[in-house]
Amino acid sequence: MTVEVTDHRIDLRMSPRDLINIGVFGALYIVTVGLFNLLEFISPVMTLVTSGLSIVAAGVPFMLFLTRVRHAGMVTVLAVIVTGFMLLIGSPPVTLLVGVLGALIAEALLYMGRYRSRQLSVLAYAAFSTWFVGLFLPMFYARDEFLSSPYMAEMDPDYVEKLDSLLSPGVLIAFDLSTVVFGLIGGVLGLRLLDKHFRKAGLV
Amino acid sequence: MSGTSPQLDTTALGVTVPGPPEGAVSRRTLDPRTAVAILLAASITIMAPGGLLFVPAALVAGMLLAIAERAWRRVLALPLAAATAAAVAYLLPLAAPWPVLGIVGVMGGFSLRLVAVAGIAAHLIETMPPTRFTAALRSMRVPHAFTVSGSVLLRFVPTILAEARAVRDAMRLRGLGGWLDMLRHPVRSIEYFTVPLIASSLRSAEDLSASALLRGLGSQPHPTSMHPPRFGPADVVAVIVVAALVTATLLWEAGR
Amino acid sequence: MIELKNVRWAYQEGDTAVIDGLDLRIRRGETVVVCGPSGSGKSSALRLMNGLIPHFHDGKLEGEVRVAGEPITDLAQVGRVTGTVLQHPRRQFFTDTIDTELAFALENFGTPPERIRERVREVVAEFRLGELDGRLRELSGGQQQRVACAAAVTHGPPTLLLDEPTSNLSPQGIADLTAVLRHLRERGTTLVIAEHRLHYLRELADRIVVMQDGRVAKEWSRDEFPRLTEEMMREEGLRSLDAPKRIHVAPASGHGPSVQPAKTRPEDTESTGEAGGATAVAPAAGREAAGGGVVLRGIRCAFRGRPVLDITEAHLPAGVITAVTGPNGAGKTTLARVLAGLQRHSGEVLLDGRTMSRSRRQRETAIVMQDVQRQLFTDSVTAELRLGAVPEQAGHAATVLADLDLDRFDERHPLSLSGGQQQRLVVATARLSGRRVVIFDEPSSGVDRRHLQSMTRTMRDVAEGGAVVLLISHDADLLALAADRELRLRPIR
Repeated sequence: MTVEVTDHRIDLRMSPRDLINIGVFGALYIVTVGLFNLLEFISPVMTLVTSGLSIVAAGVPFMLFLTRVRHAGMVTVLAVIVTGFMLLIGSPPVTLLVGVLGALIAEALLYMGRYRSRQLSVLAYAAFSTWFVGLFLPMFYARDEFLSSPYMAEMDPDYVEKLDSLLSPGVLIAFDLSTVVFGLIGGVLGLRLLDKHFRKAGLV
Repeated sequence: MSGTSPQLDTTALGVTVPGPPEGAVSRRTLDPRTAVAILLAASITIMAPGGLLFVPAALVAGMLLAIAERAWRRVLALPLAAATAAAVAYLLPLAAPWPVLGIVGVMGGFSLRLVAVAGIAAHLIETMPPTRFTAALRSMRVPHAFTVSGSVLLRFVPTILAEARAVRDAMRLRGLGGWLDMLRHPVRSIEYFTVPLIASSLRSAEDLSASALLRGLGSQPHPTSMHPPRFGPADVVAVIVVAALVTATLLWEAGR
Repeated sequence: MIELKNVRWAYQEGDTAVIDGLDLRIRRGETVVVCGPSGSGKSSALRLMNGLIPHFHDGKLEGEVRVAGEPITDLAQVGRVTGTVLQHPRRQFFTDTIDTELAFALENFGTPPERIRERVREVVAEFRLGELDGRLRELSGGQQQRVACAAAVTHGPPTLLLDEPTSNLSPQGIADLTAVLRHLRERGTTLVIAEHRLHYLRELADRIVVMQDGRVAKEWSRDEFPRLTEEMMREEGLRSLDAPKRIHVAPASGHGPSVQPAKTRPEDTESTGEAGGATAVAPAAGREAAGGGVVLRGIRCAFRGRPVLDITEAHLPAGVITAVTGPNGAGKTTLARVLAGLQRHSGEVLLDGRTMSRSRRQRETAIVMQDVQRQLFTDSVTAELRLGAVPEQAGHAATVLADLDLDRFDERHPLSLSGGQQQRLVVATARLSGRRVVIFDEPSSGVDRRHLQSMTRTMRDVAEGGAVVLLISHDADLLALAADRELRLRPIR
């Protein structure tokens, strides 16, 4: 009976080594995301493409990170320090909230899979990746202000209407879904490279 | 190379050496807690709906911080970047009224907000060594799990950036590097880039982790700081200036 | 102080025991050198003493380990009674200034702030760190190791463990570290040093322990040192007990603000010709003239407006190994990047008399990096060779692998190979893609005598194939073995 209980208890105690690991992988994750986002400079229109690409790429360090996670809380800590870092370099604060929310979902998925299930770990990465939504959320509520600004009043109403539909909540939802899709791709790619390289090289 | 004396005789023991080793932090710099509070205040108000109102105040704050830190280039770059973003947001739609460019306009408006926050963030990044920042987090009673992992993250980001640069060099020498390749075969490029990056970073992380663990990182729930952060006159000035900027903004809004 | 009793240890990923039946006692105040060829278990022995085995590295441990009378329960506990210094000084630093680095352990152990400041002041005085200025990463390797030693003993552990501390140091850096160790020894610190360089420890050590196959094979006490001969060292696969002689290496032809002129070098007056350096092959002048090589003209490079490299003219001949030496910050790495076409610069680079664009040079150059993992991209040795190989060369893959002793590994993952094998794999890819310029960047850190020789052979082969070979190194042993020419750089100012 007691054995049962201890088996199912969520253990939140993290060893110093776990914490250091989280920091190391947090840095790897951030640099991967940041560098693939640099492609954005080719053209700002690429923003959405590059954030997709960076979600996919960062799946590789993330999936390797999951092999070192054996108990609850580690993904949440990762989300807090990653989005906290983003906050420090000027990202919208809502990112932190979205990030923690996504991480809690990811934790639940991992817990359901007893930290071993491959399918659930891919889903967990997709959930974790939703923090990207936070980065762009203000762009969508900036839209209202923008459309109702005095400058827009001087524009052709037809133009304003078209623009409105281009930036509708539907687009926002599509963007949210796209982060999940890219997250799934990143998770699958991460798993594949895990098997192809890191397991074969003895790093797992 | 300074000519170093390899002879380190025992007479050095007990000999007083002039001055503390780059000890107390300059009184001109803000306490990290103040800097973070200003950043958060700016980013919460500006990124909220209707936050455009606070952009001018944040820009002024960012420029004042840049002046205080004598970062002259930033003093100029900040208003310039803001003006560019504003132009894209407001002048571009007038010049070329196509809905697709309208999106670029909305992005310009968003960039304007980002620039305003980034001006303050840049000050924090430039003036705050990770150790001081971590000490400030500790004194704010941020849980140990976040300060330990966060300090490792801050320590390790520059190392990984250097690794990434080296990996990129290696890719270019093997003819794997081009931007076009990246777009044509994104998955393969991700593989070529991330695998060596992770492998070499983890190797270098091993030494850092071992050394940090042996020196007790994370072993005590309440570590101390050599120089516990203290509020000083600079912080008072900063708070007064921020309060004045906020008041001015609100008065202006009310007067419209 | 430290007691290892019948210890056996196997890393999780390895199937054989690295440590097998190790018995070792270290007494208080003793200075013990643990040496042995690569793979003999000397680093693992040290890791047993600071608890990294089994608390950091995973594997199976048997036997008894006691430090300061107690078994090791966790790393922070053993960290209070031991200090550790690792190979790469920069990698183990947690902060970027001297005082914060010294304070790091004390802060983590919860020492009161005023006590930390007092202790940091004492240590700065004791180790004369006040004379070093700038950020940690801007210091020379020797200075960095001095700070690392100081930071490891600031919290006052009675024992200091050093894992190959000179691997990345120049002779000057080694002298600097030796002085620190002498000081620590005199003040009574117990020192355990895992090393393959022995010459600098000759005067310091009370005991030399030679390991072989994971256990102690031989022990020499202080009074036996004078009787040790070069043959005995060679037999054990150890590096020389004598400091490497500064053999005279012909200067490469070159001049400019970054190039240290040959006449001002003090060594020139001391050494005459090749003192005992049987392996240092004299450059074949004929081949050099025929093969051409690289000519640098008016090369200037600056970072953020600060000039770092300025070479008016230099000639790096094909077919010989040209060593690029000089202190940190003299522009050695920048020169390598210029040659490889990775760095923007003014001036021109000619190969065999023709000006080469940067992108062209990228295709003609290979760099064997200090951390080779950065340049291994695929999942097997064969795939690695195929990546970027010139089609007409691809058929030679098997021969090249055999030449480099890699033929049994074709299906292995490159990252699972040993460091030396990884280096040779990168050399193999350079050969198969027909690179005319091959640069070795600090290839010998943490390498024993046998590997030093095989590395020299590899470089020699590449040079004999007609390539321009550049060797960037601090390692006097390697330079003595391999360098035909020396281009000594100095910081501009």
